[in-house]
Amino acid sequence: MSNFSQEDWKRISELYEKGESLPPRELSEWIDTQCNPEEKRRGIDTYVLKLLENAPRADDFFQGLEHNIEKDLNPFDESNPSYQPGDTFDKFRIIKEIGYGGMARVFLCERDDGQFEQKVALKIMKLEGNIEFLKEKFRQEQQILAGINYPNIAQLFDGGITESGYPYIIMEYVEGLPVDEYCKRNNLSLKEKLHLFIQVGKALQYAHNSLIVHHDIKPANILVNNDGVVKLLDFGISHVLFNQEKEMSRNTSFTGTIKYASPEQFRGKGPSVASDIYKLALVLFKLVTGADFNMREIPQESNNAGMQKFFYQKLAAYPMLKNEPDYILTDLAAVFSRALAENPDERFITVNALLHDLQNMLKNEPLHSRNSTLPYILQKSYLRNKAKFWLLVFFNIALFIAVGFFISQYFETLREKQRAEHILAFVWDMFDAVDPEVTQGDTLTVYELLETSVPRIDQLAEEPDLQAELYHISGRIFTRLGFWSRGEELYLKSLALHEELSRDMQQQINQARVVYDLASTARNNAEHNRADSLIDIALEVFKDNPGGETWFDYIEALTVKAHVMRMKGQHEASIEYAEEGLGLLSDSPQDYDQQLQKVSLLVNKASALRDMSHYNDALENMDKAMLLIDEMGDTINSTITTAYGNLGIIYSRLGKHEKALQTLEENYEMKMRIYGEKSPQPLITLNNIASEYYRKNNYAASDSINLILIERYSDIFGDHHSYTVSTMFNLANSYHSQGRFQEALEYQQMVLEKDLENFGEDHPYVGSSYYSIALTFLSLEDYTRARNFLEESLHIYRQNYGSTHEQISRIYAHMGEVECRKERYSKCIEYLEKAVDMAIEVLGDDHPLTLDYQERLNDRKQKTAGLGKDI
Amino acid sequence: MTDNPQIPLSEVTTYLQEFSHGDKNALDKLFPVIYDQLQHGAHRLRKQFFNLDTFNTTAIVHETYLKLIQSGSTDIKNRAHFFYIAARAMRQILVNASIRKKTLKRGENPRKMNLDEVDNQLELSDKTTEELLLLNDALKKLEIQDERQAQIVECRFFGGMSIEETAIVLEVSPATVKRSWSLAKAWLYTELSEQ
Repeated sequence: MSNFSQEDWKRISELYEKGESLPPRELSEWIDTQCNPEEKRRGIDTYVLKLLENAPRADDFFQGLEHNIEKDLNPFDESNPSYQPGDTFDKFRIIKEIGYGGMARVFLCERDDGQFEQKVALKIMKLEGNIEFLKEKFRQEQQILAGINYPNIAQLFDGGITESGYPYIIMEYVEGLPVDEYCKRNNLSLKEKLHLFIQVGKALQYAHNSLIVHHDIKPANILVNNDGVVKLLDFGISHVLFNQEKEMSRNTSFTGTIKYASPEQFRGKGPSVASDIYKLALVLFKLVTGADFNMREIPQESNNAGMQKFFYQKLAAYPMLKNEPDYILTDLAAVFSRALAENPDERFITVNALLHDLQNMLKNEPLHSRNSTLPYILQKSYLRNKAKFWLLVFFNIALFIAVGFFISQYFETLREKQRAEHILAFVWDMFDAVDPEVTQGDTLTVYELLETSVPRIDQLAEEPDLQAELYHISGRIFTRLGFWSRGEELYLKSLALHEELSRDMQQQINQARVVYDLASTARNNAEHNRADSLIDIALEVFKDNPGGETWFDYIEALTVKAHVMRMKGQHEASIEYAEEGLGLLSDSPQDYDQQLQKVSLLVNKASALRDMSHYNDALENMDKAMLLIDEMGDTINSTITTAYGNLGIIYSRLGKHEKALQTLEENYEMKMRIYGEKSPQPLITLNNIASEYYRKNNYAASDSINLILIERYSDIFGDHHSYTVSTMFNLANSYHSQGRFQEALEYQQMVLEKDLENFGEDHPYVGSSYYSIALTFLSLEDYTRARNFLEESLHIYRQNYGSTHEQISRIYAHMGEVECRKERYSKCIEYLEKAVDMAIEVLGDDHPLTLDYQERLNDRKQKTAGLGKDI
Repeated sequence: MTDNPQIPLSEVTTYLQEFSHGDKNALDKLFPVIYDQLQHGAHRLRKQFFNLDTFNTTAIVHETYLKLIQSGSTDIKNRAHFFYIAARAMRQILVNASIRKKTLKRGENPRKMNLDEVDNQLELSDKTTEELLLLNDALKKLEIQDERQAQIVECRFFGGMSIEETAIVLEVSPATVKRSWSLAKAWLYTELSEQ
């Protein structure tokens, strides 16, 4: 039948194509008019007709085959528990099966005890692996999920493991359509769809605020009931799966739905907020276009502007968006370009940020995600907020004037040079005056403004000293806004210019100021050795300057030096530098800057004392600092948040956990207000909050914060950064406390390796690493290794802290435990006595740790007495 | 075909570039590597896919791509060519699995297979096996009749490629792909239904 010549085949294709757009019942009449008798003789007409009639069945065949292959690839184990209508499960009676997937079955049930009418959904999952681990994981998850009570999130009622070992959950039964179906059936307008989507987003943001990620966002998990109310299903379940899988396999990991997977998921990354945002945007794409988005279509290596262009063209091609105005397409393209960025860092930071842009779009306001031109920003900013608008304009004008005056200094008077400097100082002050209302909301716009100014500076090659100065100032503004690496780049440009300039005193001072800022950045990046050598250079210049012009620079540099020394573990030196700075300050009039510097120095001194476990001395210095903060009135800035953070930690060390948690939470909110979510600053406080939860034995909360932090820190700083490593350290401790020793050991060994590389063999951090590993071996009943690691740790602590320290008392207590286990009781008692004595000295006799050691000692003594002899 | 890929994985990108620049020899070198990886991918994914839904051939191809090609290192053309080769390899894998299943069922020479292959084989159902083999035969006929249409079927059906991607590889317009895909399906189905 198909033996046609090439020519006939061409004719067949042609006719088929034409016939495709015709209604089926007109086909036979139509084909009759198309073919000449010769063609009919060769059977072309009947063959084309047959092809056209077969077309819908052909589609069914290919879809069916695809489906069958898919099914063969995903065999659902028939041995899995299956329930028939009428069966009972717990206190529920099965009504019918309502869902079936590769890895799960869902049944509709109702309460069997007749007490009240309630329909629920029972979801049974097929899982393999360590069931004990799973039970634990499930228990933890349920604890978290129980905390979610939000109208747009389907409630989880219960969950557990069936007798035959299958995890199950019982959740609110939602009668409704998947969100994409719902939009299609009700033929919603774009505006209506967006309002529906915003409901979804808000629910997700609520969960994220409770530190829960969904990980399996897709239309099937978003149902809309008859009243148009959205319900999100399956919260946190994937998270359990991910963990289970991670535990089973060290290779690539994958949970969730392939069509709604984020790029990083394909690389085996776990659940994250950024990943949820990506998936949410895929849902949005489906809703507004009616089609699935294929991430492979994104041109690779395109920047945000390229992405916007790509999405704009893509959206414009969908019939569903045909009648939307151009600005809607532009705005939607901008939203997708950010939400679907391959790199998680480039996405919206929160769901709210995405929703905010959509809401602005609905109100026709400017979007953050749009890669804007300067006039666009100015125009939109003006419309939005006149005050901010003038501030931005003024910044630009001021910069221009400053440039003008700087140039003119070669021709004009000294007076005008001073004026120029004043204007620059003003510009700088504008950013220094930290008003969260002004800086936070507009950070992006200011960033873009700055970026437009930098090329202007590049053009000033004729005036190297002006150029150097402007690079420095712009660098400081970038740094202040949290764009550290961009700031550093500009500092280095400035420094390179300074190197070539004449070496008069003023030049040297200017140069030292750049070096000082570089040192601060290095410190912020935890590059302590680099920070140390840089700050020494700055200190030298500031100290040698006789004019007194740099005495305050000198104090600022001392603050950095004190901080760096503390970070390098040289606490006594750190205290000395802090005291030198405090000595210089106390005699001078206390304006705002000086007060702030004093707070910094006091906090630093307190922190060093804290690290040396002189808690009461530390608290005394903190009290002074907090008193000063009160005097300074109603202000918030980085120095004060640091103070709050430290106070929190000290409370914690003194065992006042409620007070610590309260201080830290205040501090977190403060930091979010100042720095926004993009900055690592609030994360650091989250670290401390996680530690507090840990101390309160709320491991679920602590672990989930830490897992998020490890991912965020690795993304921001890399996996060797001290923040990343510290968080791993904490997580390991938590696993240890939960009896998950192998997991703990794994993280501990990573930490040790990184600490050795970062700090060398004698650093206190390495000491803590040895200590933690020792504890794990102790729990694993490997006493010989435990003792070896304890000894390593003791050696390092003594070297760093002298012979009396809280940590050393802990080590003694554990040495005692090792000896007891080895049934060497007199040695055991000896160590426990040392531990008790030291704890009393360092912590006081009513500290829980002291009491614990005391009890252990008494216990052991009694038992030994009971035995009547010693071995 | 399971062991010793002839080129190191790190060179996949280079060969892809050569292939997309018209060097057809590069295809012969790439095919076995990609075939091998796809088969492993299918196996590995099946073991690890803790999916509440399903995974499919597109997922395997995608995963394999990410595994073989460092993200960001190839342009869209290379990528499309990769998927094209993968699509052909996927067809081969499915057909081989079908043939093997049929052979096993008849009890012919089961000892010919080595352990590795047994480990990697896909468990296809009778219905799928039968349909795949029929489709493969029809596809061979289509290759003679209209090679490009057969290629479009490979891209769209076996590789899960989009219309745009298919258009890039076969150097035709997306509209042509769309039209031909529809005709090819109708033709293949007509052919199959008359077997």
